[in-house]
Amino acid sequence: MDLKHDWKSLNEVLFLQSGPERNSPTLLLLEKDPQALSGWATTGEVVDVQWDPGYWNQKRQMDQLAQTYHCTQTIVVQKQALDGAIAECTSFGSNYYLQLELLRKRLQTEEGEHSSFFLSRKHFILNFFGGLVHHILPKSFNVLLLIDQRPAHQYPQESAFDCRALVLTYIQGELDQFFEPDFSTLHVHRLMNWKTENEAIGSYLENRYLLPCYGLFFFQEDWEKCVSQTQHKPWLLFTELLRQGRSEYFPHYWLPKAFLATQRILLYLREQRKKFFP
Amino acid sequence: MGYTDIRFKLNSHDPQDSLHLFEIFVNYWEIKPAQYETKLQEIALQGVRKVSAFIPWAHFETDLYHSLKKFLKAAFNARMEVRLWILPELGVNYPFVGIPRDLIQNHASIAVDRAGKVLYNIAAPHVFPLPSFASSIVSKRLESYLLKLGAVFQEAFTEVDNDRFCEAMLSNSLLNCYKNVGPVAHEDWGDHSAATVLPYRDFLDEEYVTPQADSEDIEHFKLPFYDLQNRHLFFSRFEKELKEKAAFLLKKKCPKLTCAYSNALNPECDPHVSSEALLSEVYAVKPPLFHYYQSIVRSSIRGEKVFFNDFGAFRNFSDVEKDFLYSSSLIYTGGLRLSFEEFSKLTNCDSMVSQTVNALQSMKEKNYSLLKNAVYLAPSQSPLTQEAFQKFNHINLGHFSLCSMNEFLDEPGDGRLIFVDPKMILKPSEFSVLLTQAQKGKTVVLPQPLSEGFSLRNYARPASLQYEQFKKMREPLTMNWGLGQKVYAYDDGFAVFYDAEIFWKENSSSEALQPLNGGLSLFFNGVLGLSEQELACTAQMGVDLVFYSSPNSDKKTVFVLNPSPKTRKARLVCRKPVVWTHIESKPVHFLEMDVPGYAIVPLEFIENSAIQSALSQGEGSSAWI
Repeated sequence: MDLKHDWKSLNEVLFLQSGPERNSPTLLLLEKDPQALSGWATTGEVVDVQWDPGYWNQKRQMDQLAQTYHCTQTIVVQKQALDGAIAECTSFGSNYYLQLELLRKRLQTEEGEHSSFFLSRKHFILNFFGGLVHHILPKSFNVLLLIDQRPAHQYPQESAFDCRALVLTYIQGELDQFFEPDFSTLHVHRLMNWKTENEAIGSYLENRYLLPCYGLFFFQEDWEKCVSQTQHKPWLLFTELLRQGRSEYFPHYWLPKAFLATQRILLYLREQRKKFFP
Repeated sequence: MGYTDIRFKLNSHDPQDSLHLFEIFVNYWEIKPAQYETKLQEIALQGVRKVSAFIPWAHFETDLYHSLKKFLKAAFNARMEVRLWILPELGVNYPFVGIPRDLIQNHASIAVDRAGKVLYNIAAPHVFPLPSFASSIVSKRLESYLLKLGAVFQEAFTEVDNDRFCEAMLSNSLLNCYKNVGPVAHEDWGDHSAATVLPYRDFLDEEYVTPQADSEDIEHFKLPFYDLQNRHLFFSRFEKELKEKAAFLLKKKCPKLTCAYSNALNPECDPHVSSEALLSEVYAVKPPLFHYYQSIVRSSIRGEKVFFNDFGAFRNFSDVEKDFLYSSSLIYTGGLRLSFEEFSKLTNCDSMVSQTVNALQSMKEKNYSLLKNAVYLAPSQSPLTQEAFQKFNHINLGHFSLCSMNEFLDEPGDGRLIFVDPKMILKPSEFSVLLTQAQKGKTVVLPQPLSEGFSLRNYARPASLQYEQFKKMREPLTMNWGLGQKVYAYDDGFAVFYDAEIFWKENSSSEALQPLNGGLSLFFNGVLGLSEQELACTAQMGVDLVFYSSPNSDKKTVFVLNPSPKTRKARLVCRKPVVWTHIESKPVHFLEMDVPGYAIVPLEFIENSAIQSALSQGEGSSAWI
């Protein structure tokens, strides 16, 4: 797979590998590169099969297509992967349940060089950086999302440290690439102490990928809570976590501070409202 | 609650009549033999007098309790008629749809496509490879099964002393599913396993042999370039022989058994739909209703009976969506085939299904039938030239039959317009039959022989000579429809020969044929006009029209179907002014209406020459109330 579009990492980090959302309007596309085979929307709308194939590396097109058919997520399946999974699942004889389980497993994980499964849906981080804010951000920039797998109380212990990271590259407000960053030349001490070393991590990435970088740091348990929130609430939660010292961001200049200040005001107003209007 | 209370009650009409539209399936292997009579009596209480059942092959072979014989006797005792589907059908709720497991597990007897990939069934009940019926292992086992089955029928008939209550239905629908999922090139369609090599070779040796043919002619059509046509002809011939052999073997043991031929299709097992149904199960999302609907339309064109099961992805549709698909099946195929359990759920007399049944029943009493006056002829039930077929389909959507040449030669049918696929190879017998149809008053449209300078031929030499003799005896009419056609008139019919060279060129891809699109539309509209088979009105894309008419009446009924979830504005444009009964009192050229999502609206209109002549004389609309 092209390093620039690491769908596996995107789905694992952003969506916590939760698979497609059930009961959400979904657009499914079956492709055999370079041919578009068939597609349908669970809303019942008829999908014109003449989309450009190869959408697996064009998240923006996938999202636009989903929007066209009033869907919230797009799933693209490669026919070769489907054929391989079908051949494999016949080993279960007449047990349809096990066959479907195997198909789910094969079609939702990456195998070898090419992923068989591309799931694109909305996320608060993608919505934010791809939204109006890009007008005041640089033309091209990276966003680092680092999820510390340790429980919060074990920070900054070395023994338990593990993390997942994802870099989202935006060009003129459009998500262009998404991949796991290369931290091989960064001392692991800096990663383990991201609360204090976040600026250094940011500088490292800016030197490594030659683009301005914005970063968000979470603990796994807090990240899961954020992902489960809807609309503006993830940012409110993030602001609260910042206040508690459980998350971090960089760079610390006026723009992020202004945004976070706005979120703090919203949080304050929410608390006041709860106090006076329980 | 009996059906006479609210379901399908037709005022003063006998509700019994409406049940002819239904084919109720009973999975007898899921019921204990001791309970057959009870179950059948329960079904009989609903007013059903005829049940159908698939016979799972493997179940029959291993059936120690003689369930099938007991079922037949129970049906006779319950005074019910039985229709039994003998050959395997995809979508039946039995492991491997009843095909013996050891045949599936034997690699030597598995069907493969041209690229050597195994052909699978990927619809419920589960995923499994398809067997090759050309394999000697499968073939011998099938013969043994049919002989035993015939013997069981004979025993049952003897014990009840009656042989008229049971009908054996022979189909080859399974063979229509020998396609890999997704769009498949025609060259790759069908069973290309090693078992087909010798039969195919024998077929090639015999197919082009005629008294007038010479060896050079016979050898020419064996060239690899004709593989596509030959393969399709071979599959079509194989399917026909399989059905005939099955009937022969059954009757060998049970001479009085009534055998009928038909094809069935579960839309979920349609290769165009099955991958989507499977993915919808994998990702727990709703399957594509529109593609199921399209499958029903295709089945109607091929003359297949559509049946629904309730254990596949179909169960995920809402009641409204199911109703729409059931009603579409009623309208397009003239019947609804489903399990007794699903039939029992159709209790709401206000449902779309009830209303559709009532409408169809009313039309049946007036001797209305589905308007299908055009026939598309191809070597098999899969057209060779997609561009021509799709254009033909677009103009005639749902109103024509797709027929293989084999079937057509046996039974030409009543189609007033017969169109021959541009890539057909015509033999003298076929050419003669087609011209005979033109003499009988039909419009026959067939490709003319390719020019001498072209390296390939589409006519066997004796057929070319027939064509030359034919041309000498007549002068063609001049028509300008864009395909270099020559029209020869008979007393009532026409023979139209068109230039098919562009379709035979090596680079005749869809892109290369693009400029032809306009010409094809003009051509098809021209032949429709010539044969007087133009549709009375058309609608824009997004809604479909299905016409029912009676030969002795100026009134027609059109069903307007909206296969999408959103309301669509249907603008029906009439070729000539018509009177829409109950809507407009004067003739109008067009009608606009909103059709809700997944809705079917029946409309009745009158078109006749009396209206046209009065209009031309300037009479007012009040004359036509």
